Amino acid sequence: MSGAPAAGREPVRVVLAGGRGHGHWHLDNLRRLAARGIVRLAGVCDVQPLEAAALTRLGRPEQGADLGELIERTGAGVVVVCTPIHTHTDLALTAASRGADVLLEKPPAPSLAEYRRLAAGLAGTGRACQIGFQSLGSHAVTAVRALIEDGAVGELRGIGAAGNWVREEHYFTRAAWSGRRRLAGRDVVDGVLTNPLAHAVATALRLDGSSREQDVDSIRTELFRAHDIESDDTSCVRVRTARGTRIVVAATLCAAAAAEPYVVVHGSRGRITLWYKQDRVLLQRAGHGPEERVHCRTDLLENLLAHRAGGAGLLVPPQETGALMRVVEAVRTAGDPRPVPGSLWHTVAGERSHRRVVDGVDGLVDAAAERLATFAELGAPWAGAARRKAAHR
Amino acid sequence: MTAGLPLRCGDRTVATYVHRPDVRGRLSPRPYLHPVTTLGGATVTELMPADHLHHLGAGIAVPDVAGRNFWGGRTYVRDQGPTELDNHGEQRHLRWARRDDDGFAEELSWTAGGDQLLHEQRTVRTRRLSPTAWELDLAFTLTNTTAEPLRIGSPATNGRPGAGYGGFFWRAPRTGTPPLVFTPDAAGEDAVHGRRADWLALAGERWTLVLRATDPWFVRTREYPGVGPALAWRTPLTVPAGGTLTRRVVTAVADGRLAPDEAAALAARTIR
Repeated sequence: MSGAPAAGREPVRVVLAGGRGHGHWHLDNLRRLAARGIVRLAGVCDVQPLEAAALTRLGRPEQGADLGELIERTGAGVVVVCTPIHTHTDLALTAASRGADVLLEKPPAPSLAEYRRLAAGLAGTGRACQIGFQSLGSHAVTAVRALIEDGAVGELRGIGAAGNWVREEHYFTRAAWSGRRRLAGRDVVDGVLTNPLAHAVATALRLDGSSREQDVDSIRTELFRAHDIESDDTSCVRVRTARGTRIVVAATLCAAAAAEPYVVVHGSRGRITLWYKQDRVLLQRAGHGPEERVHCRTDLLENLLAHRAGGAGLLVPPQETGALMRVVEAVRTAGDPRPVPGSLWHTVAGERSHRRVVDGVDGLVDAAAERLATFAELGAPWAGAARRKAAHR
Repeated sequence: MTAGLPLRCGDRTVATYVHRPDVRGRLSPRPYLHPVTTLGGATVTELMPADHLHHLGAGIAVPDVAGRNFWGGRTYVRDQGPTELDNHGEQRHLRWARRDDDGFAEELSWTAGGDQLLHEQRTVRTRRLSPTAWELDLAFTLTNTTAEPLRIGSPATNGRPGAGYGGFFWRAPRTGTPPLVFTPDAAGEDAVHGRRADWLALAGERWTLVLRATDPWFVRTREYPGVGPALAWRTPLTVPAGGTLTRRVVTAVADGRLAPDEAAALAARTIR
């Protein structure tokens, strides 16, 4: 069991690649597992060494900017890769080729070609790779999948997902690759659907049982931006899966109010709402009162360690993110996101900087998930041209 | 498909028997009674609750007939635990031998993987016991139609002590607090679970069921409200080729939460 103490067993030596930004989350997780004697942080790979304060209760790991060299030096068995998206493939393959198993932050790669190179390269090393879609470790996802398969809400009519988030302007300038589609000739694809709310896409696909690359039939994207960025911050994607399910994911970083993102399953006899960050499931059915349940979650690093120990199947191997990568590829190859006209967004003061709010976007994001319709189909004023464009296609 | 047969008790419809259920294969499709109500109108069955989607009102469900699952959901496998197996069976309505306002006689086929294992004759009849209670009299005879002896087991006989469920099973709706459970000489889930008793009462806030049967009682109240006499509580039961197995369960359905003496008095009025 992943929760059992590693009595009499040496802690697994772990190297963390990318200790800043979201890397802090991994440092906290490593602290938790180190306290249980399961892991030891043996090294941190970053362009600049981490300051001691960030490494409290994590001992004195080796530091360096060369991941391969650091793995050799520390004898690490596991590498956590939490670096800019366009560096994922090379670093994950570096780790695997040195004999380490990998926990790779999502999205696994910025393009389908890079994803395929990752998958093929990993297969050659025989090492395990877990993609860090934490929501896919939620037992709520398994529970909702079972509800669908057992017909709790009748025939599946479609799956919607909604992400109303707020990000202030400094979010888009926090790193050179923030808000970029490409950087120095390399794909980055840091858009709202492919990075901050990629969980919504991946979770919706998994609820349909359509996680692999070949499970996607067609994809239509509508990408917009209110910020002065290259990439998109207010977007919608419609996926038709090979089994015929219509999935619509709408997401924005320019909501008036931050809301808990969710995936909603529409059935002929009811609906299931999953707030995937909270592992919370609400089942609403004809002839029943509402039933709500909060599930637990398996940490993806713990699952990777249990897999190494021989006891568990990997929850999110690369092939289970192939469908998500099809969406990333569709966003990558789509035309540039269209700006939301300045008359249709306004600025409000945030905590550290200003943030932009697209007029009426909160309701449109919810409506897209509810009605399985895109922004253009819903008549979003800033999406009008897309409707004409789609009609000519 | 789901339109069922209404069962009446006097001038009231007190139950619906769904003989051709719209249920996925993994839940082991089978006819069931739902909703079942008191004379006062309180519903006393639950259909496909989120905690166990394979709980279908009141009916007959057996987790292990020659390794086939007629209960629904996962299968308990020795030394392995609950396991997802493609081993689900189905109880299919064949024909009505009799249909009246207050009951019916029915023939059913228990099939799995295209083969019939058992043929069943089931009879159900309602009868008024008092202005606030009626009884559901259900009997079934299973005939082994295969050429081999059929082993009927439960998770308990497959290695999970206490999980002896299987046979007639009544899934009740959740109430504000778990229902009370008692027999003539014991009370509480731990005291009555796995014991035999002339009758067993499950008392919710607005309703009470008083069941009479001869097998040991399988009882859940804390995790979910559900009770039933267990065919294979501790040891498997074998039906020889061509042999039969007959059981009868009478359930008094009463309005209100009955006290033990009231439940005993009601049990005494039932038909057994």
